[in-house]
Amino acid sequence: MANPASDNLFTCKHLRSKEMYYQADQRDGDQYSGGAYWCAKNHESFGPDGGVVERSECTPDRTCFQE
Amino acid sequence: MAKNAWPAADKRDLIGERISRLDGPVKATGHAKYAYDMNRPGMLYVRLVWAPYGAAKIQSIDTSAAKAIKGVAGVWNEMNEGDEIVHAGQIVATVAATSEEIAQEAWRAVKVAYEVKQPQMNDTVLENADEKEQRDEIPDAATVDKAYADAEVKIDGHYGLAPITHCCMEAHGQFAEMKDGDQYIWPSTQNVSAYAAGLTDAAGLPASQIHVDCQYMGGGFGSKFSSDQWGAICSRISKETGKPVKLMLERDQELMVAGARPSAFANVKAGATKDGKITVFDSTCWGSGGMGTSRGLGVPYVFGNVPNIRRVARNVRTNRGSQRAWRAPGHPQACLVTMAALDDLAAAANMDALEFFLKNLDLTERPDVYREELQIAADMIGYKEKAHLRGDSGDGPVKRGLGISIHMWGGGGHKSECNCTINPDGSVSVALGTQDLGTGTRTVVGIVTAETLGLPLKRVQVNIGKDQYPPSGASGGSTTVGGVSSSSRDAATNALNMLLEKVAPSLGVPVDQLEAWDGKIQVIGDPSKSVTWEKACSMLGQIPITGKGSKPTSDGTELDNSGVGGVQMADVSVDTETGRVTINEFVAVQDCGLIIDLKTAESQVYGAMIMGVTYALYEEAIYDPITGRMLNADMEFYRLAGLADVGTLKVHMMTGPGYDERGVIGLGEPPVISPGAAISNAVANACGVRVPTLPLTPDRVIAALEQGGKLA
Repeated sequence: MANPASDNLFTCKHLRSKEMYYQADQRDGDQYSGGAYWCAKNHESFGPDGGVVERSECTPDRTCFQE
Repeated sequence: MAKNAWPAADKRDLIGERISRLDGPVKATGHAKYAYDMNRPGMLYVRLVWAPYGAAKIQSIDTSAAKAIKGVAGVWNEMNEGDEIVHAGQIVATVAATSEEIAQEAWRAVKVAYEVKQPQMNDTVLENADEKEQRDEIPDAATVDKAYADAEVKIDGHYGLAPITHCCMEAHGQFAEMKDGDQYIWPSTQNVSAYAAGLTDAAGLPASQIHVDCQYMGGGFGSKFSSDQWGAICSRISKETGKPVKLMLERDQELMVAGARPSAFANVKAGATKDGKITVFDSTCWGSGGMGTSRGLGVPYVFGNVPNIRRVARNVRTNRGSQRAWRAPGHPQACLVTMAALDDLAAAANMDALEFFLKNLDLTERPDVYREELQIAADMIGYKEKAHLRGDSGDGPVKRGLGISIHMWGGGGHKSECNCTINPDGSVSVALGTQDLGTGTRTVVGIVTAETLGLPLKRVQVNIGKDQYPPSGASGGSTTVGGVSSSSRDAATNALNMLLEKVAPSLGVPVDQLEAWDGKIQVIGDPSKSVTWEKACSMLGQIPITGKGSKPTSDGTELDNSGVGGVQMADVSVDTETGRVTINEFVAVQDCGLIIDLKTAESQVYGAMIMGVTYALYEEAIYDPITGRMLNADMEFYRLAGLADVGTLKVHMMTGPGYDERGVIGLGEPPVISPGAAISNAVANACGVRVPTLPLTPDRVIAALEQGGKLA
């Protein structure tokens, strides 16, 4: 299953996924993965602004975005 | 020179044998110390005040009564008046006290007033999905529609899995204390090397001044990668008060907020030729991971080369605790949806399910492996003797049936660094910042090091679980065994080569003609020209040597690999009067490349099968649609399988030529993928109707029998 947003490099510094802790390439390459991202700021699957946390969503246009 | 490559089968003394865990005795006797076992004089106990509603607005927080209680060290607001609650279990305030009892009293004394709102808890209907979060793949809609219309055999089915939790036996949490300006942390984590980085803001310290130690932990299953909000609170209070602090979640909060597997539901239209070749798989999937996102399912699972595929995926946001990666994220759900739909297709074609699966293996990436595994599993469970077409299970209320599922996983090793030190007295230690989740990682590192050095396992001191050791990746994605076996093999080989350089002159041969074997350094294949290990190490003089290893290895040798397949078959009985499902026999056949420790590998599979029986038959997080609160957030009504529930379990590991030479591949996740599908298919085979949603509780079985007209 394609994940076109996986190439987006302008993601928030608080974005986390488990793959970041063990994959050299930290983009999510598993098409079967459920996409379990979380925000390291509030440790939830939604950000401080209430929006969803995902690589394609945690972008500079969010009020909670941090470089 | 010793080489990194894994030794040939006839040169393996330990690798591939059944070896008990190094830490088995300390765990069995209670000497193993977990985070909760940490106690210090003057320690503070923390309780978290959590929101009891799925959707609400905080009107007021009154901590005055709690602060007035003698022995309370502090009360902190974690949220404020006017803040919105979006799931039950969110942390509103924190109390710290000098005893658990006082902390409990203060916890009760904190008064929070809420404006309660209506939560959105229903994820079972597609209409509740968020249109903005759709992820559709419709390469050629007209072609898919035509393929389904033209199919000689077709099904239109609905499948699903309820949300479940991680339900770790050891709750999330940590112990923290300050010493000489640094902070020392004993957490329950599957991510030792990177844990401290999550606490820097809370502790007001750089990661270099936060020291992590996790020797033992009681299960993570994907939920313990982060230090979490409670870890940050624990660190903050320890820094602020200067006291040792213990913060472990209570069981109810553990189940509400410390990890959940997203639900998944799917409508599937699938078609085949009349002789059973799959021609089309058209799915609409949805599910909920709480207020986050749920990406949808990669279906058809394993059979990815079906000629006509359409996927429509939607996300449903619900007011429940955030999802976390749950052992093989997304795979059990995709597996259930696919294997159940294909099993229904086989039944529609009036075909034996095994014949149907075998016939379509060319639609998978590893048909030869699955074919061999299916045949072994069939022999193990007595398929020929027991098999029957769906529902053709004789008279009487108790029906018996068989079910099949196949699965896949990656499992390549993660990055890892390791030091192996050989001392002049002959002692050996190996150190790396990995963690043992109970899977046998400590034992694997010891086996690889001992094998490399030609020593008995007991001669190697394995040091793991501290972030002061060379960093290793988190234990996720079944990447640990490939990573740590590579780095420890590399480190031990490099250390051995340094030793061989010292020994070679005394044996009068070049280094490349020496080997370590059976407690000696000897000329290859000639024990008569040797020195004992102790004598060899004494040639180091007074200075120990340390070999450094890594994954990727220092000489580029690839010791791990990726890509495994497995087959599982279940034999169940269904009481059509009560709806009760009983597991008679359950078999698993699994490949994972070169196996380091056969005993712990088999143990991983047994554990996964038990976990799989649990989510297939019992496990479900049930939420109150009015308050949004989890109704069974305890160990009484959130039911896990016991020994009496799992039936006879049989495991077969694929080893030997064709498998061993692939290198080491992770095993933690793959065997937990198929149980739901295999058991669901067995129930359908037994009672003649599909019970669409897991867990297969008696009420769901009875409802399916009623709707299918098959009630006894």
